[in-house]
Amino acid sequence: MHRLNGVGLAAFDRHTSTARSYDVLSITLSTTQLNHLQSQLSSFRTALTSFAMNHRDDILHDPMFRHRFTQMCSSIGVDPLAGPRKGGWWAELLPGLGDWQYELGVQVVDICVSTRERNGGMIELAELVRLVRKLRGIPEGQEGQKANTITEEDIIRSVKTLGPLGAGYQIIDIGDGRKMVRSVPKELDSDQAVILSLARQPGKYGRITQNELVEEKGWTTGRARGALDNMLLRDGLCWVDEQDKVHDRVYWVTSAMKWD
Amino acid sequence: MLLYYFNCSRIKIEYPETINLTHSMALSTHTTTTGFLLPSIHSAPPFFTQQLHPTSLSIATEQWIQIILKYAKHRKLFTIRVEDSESPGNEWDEVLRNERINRRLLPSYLSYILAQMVSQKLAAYEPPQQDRSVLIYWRLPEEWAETLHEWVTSTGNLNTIMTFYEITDPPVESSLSGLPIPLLRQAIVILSKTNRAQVLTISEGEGVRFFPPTGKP
Repeated sequence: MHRLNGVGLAAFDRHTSTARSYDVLSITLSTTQLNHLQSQLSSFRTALTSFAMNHRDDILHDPMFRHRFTQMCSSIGVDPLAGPRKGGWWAELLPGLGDWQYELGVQVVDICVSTRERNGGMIELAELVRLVRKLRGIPEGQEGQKANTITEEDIIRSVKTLGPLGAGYQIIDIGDGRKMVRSVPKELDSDQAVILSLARQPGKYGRITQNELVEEKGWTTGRARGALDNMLLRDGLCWVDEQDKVHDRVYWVTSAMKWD
Repeated sequence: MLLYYFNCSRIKIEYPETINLTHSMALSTHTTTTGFLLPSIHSAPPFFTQQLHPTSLSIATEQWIQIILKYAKHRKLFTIRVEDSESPGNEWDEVLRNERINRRLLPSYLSYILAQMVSQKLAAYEPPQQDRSVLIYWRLPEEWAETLHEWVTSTGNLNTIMTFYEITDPPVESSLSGLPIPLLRQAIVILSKTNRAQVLTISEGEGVRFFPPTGKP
């Protein structure tokens, strides 16, 4: 200790000069690292720019390519939708993608709002895709064509971009692989999901009775009645018909009714 | 950014009303024997029952009001009664019943719909002091007043005394033919406020004299 650091004022001087040397070294090192990082970032940026430039049309028009691209972006932690609002350089690279997604979001809102009267704010994802395609003038029955088509993936992403608006748009899985978009902020319990799923079965056209739930799902009368009445009275997700020949009360789930 | 799109690229969605033959249960529009196009909601069984959820009720009721107003205009009907939904065999059968799905508008719901129409000033209880029968304003009284004045002017009847009967049952059929007297009276009251009409007592009962818009007699 003594010999290494010396004693008295000399030791103090030496200590200061050592610290200064370390400082200098540290600054040099971090400057080098920063420069290195900056050059890496700039080459990444250049690469991404040229990639986006070269494949811009593909990104905007080919759903498969767009899907892979957004997957890639999320895996490297880049948000392609950061968009013009944040003023990031990303928006300059891919003018159109953020807009494209927002535009799709607006169309999704448009359809959800304009069909709310007839479906109570629940729309099947496939139906939403069909209406968006119709709205965009994409001919039906040509889903195979890759150009300009809209996929369920695109809609799901758009619904997520609507999140910050706080309008309560949500994707709900009702089982057997079918998804619905809910545009009214309500809680959908698991019994209601079962009812929705049953009402959508082929040939039912949204028509549901208490007996069906008892017979087909093994529910108690009370549970069936309670769940149906919640949907009817609390949430307005179904309409009631009191003129059925057999049943006192038949429930019609509006989002599952088939309208021409 | 998003708000910008809301303002600028609002797109109207049109739902084509086509008839789908492959799905018998699908809700489709229907043209009645008198040539009236019923909207597809009219083929939905629950449409004929009064809904319990307030939002559903107001949606369905609004649809019913539109159908009633349009059908009244289509067939020049001025009156609808709660009784019209109770038994068949009247001029409202095509609208108040749907035999294809075996449904009829329940009288209690029709009564509610009529009350809504009265509160929205799209109809008035006639006679007053009861709630089973209404006079339908498929044209508002103000619009009838203008129609009346235009008709009087175009037929050269300004400044002459006319009976109510001459207006509602003219030798040449007009858009005012069959106009109920209470509605005619309202139209005349509206015109008299701008000095374009004056009710007089004449030998046959009541008469009316119309004046040009300047208001001078």
